[in-house]
Amino acid sequence: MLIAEHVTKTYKNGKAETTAVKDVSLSLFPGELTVLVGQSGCGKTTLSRILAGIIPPTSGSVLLNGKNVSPPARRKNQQLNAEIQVVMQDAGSALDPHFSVYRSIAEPIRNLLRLSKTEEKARVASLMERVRLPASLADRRPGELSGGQLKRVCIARALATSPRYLIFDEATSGLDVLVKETILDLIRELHRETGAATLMITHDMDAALYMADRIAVMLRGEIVENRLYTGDLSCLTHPYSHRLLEQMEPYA
Amino acid sequence: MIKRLFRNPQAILGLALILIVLLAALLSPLLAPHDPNATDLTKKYVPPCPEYPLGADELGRCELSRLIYGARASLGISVPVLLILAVLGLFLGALSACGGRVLDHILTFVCDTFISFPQLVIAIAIIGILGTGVRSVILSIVVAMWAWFARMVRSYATLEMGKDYILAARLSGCGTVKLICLHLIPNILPQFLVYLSTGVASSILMVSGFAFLGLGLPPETAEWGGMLSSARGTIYTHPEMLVYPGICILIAAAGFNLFGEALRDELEGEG
Amino acid sequence: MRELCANELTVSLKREGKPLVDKISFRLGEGKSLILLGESGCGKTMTCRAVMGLLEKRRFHVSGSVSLDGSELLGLSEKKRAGVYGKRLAFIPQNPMTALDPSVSIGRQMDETLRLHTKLNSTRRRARICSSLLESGLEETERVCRARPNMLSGGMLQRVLIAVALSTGAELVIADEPTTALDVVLRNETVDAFVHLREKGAAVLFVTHDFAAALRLGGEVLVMREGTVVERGDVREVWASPGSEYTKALVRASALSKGTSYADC
Repeated sequence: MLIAEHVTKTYKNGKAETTAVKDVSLSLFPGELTVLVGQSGCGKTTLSRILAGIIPPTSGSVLLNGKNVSPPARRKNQQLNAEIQVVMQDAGSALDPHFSVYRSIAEPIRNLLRLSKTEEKARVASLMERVRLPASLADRRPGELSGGQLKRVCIARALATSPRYLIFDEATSGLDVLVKETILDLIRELHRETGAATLMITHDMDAALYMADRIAVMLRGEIVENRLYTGDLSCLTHPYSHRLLEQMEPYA
Repeated sequence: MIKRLFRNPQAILGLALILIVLLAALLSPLLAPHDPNATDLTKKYVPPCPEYPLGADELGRCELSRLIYGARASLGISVPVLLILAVLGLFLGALSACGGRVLDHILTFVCDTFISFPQLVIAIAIIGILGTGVRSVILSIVVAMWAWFARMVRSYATLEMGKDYILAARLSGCGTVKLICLHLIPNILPQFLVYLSTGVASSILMVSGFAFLGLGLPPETAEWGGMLSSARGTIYTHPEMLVYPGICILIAAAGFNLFGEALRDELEGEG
Repeated sequence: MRELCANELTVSLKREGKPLVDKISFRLGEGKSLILLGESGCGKTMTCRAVMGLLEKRRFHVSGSVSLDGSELLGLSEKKRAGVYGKRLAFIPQNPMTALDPSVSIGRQMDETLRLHTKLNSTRRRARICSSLLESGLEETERVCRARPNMLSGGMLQRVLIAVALSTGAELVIADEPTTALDVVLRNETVDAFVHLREKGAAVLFVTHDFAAALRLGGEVLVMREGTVVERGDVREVWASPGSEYTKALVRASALSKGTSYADC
């Protein structure tokens, strides 16, 4: 289990202090797809980065099976890198413009797994197949791919080490609506296949309800509601959750 | 992109000029009709003729041969200088951007100190200390210019380091060294090459400048700046002795500048 | 203005044959909204730019007709077109930052615009600025006026641009994906500001790929795909009973969790 305990993150801007995350405790359970919903600026991306060990919390801790998760820990312990992976919001800028699709996907394999050249090739091919990327794209560069294809490359890369914890930051932002549906379906399918603990960050309540096993609602740095979701909306009781649900309704 | 570059007229012109100078430098013994240092006082200031295509200078040396061997001096110094500067610049710049705040502050401070001095002043000071010779010329130019290159690499590197793909690479288990070599440098190399290209031009001008001032190379070396200096005295009687080396300096510097700028335009158009 | 009319508007690249916009026709009257709905590459932005005359003559071939109150707009020089549009046209781009000067405060920019386009004195201008900011949903008018663009969020900047359109009394407002970069709450607030614009009598041409934004705005929708109109009609009716397969797919993808009743909580 990946557990965040009483995590707080404050940023100092000269004399002013902004609290991005306020005393948040959240657990990611294996096999569960948690969606963290909230408006832009509520701190959900910051929280996801703290959970992934990309930025350190100001106070509180993040533990993976008892071991600490933080930037220095990630640098020392390659095992952590293999266990927790992140798919970032902007797929285009998350890929090295000089790397071919193959090389981008192979990077975590080369750094974190000890595979022979043949094994590596086979693994990359199977990853591309899983995310439904045509094998012919293996030699292409990011500049030649569409938004949806870029996203798939990032997902394939994140899955390369069979991580047990996957974090998606605004998985569908910038994507056309039909592509969005395909990507969300892909994420659900992969989640079921791998049994990884998945965290999806979004402001889109519609996507949240479509995907979630568990919904956590975030408002101004705090988690105001955290419930298992089985399709019954009455489980969400917080007024802000209701507000988000109302906003989903396009017209009165 | 390379294909596009070859369609760019400015790039082609620059490349052509560079090639002329390069060939002159590489094939000097084959191209030059005479030994550039062979003096013959009976041939003093001979006008252009089949034996001396551009005539002879005040010591009866073949002008054309001296110009051709001059390319050797210019490129022979500028190219090693630029290679050293490239390596130093990339190494120190990347270190500054990736090696932590303290190191960054120290290196930036050192760079700024060097940059605050005019390049020629530093170069002259060092030549003054080390004396004449190719080695001291190379060293003085390197000392004068390294800070500019390091700073330039640092600013591009800092920009790249903030991008998402660097973070993604770290998450994929990339260590700092691998990050710099595999991700950072390939992505800043194009702009860096542009800077190098125009750096060669500056270096050529510097070498000629030193020779003009009588610094650096032994006074009788066939070098364009030196030839300019010697020709100062006879500006009214033999103006062509000023024009020939001047044009050579122009061709060499212009070639590298034109090519470098065309390269940058192509890159900016891409990005 | 009374009506913006497009008749068999066609845009194609001079080099290739296939049209990017293929014989699009529509009518947009005052106080109404027209939505161009579709995914990227369907030609909706091209149509928009053709209407505004922003397509370079060297690269694009534009045929058909676009007229404002009977005056033909295609083929006019920039000056003449500006003469026809005058100050009646307001354009709201996807990225509001590009439309504003980053070094000048909002209040001053709005003041300059009003000085250019109206003959109000400074007190009246200030009053107009405040009222239009309020109308577009920005309550902290003082703070907004004093702020520079980089101090405000994307959603707020969009509403500033809408306020500018309100303040100059723009009669035709063209918006290109104004809500794409915004989260759900901001999206709704921004669309509400457009509704307000329309209720004040402006004609709104709204380009988007977001069905929810289109629904909230209301009006006639043209569902576009690969340059042609696949379906058209009142947006809420099209949503309730989509005709073409493509529209059905868009509807399904826009309400993935449909089937759950929102009213149940």
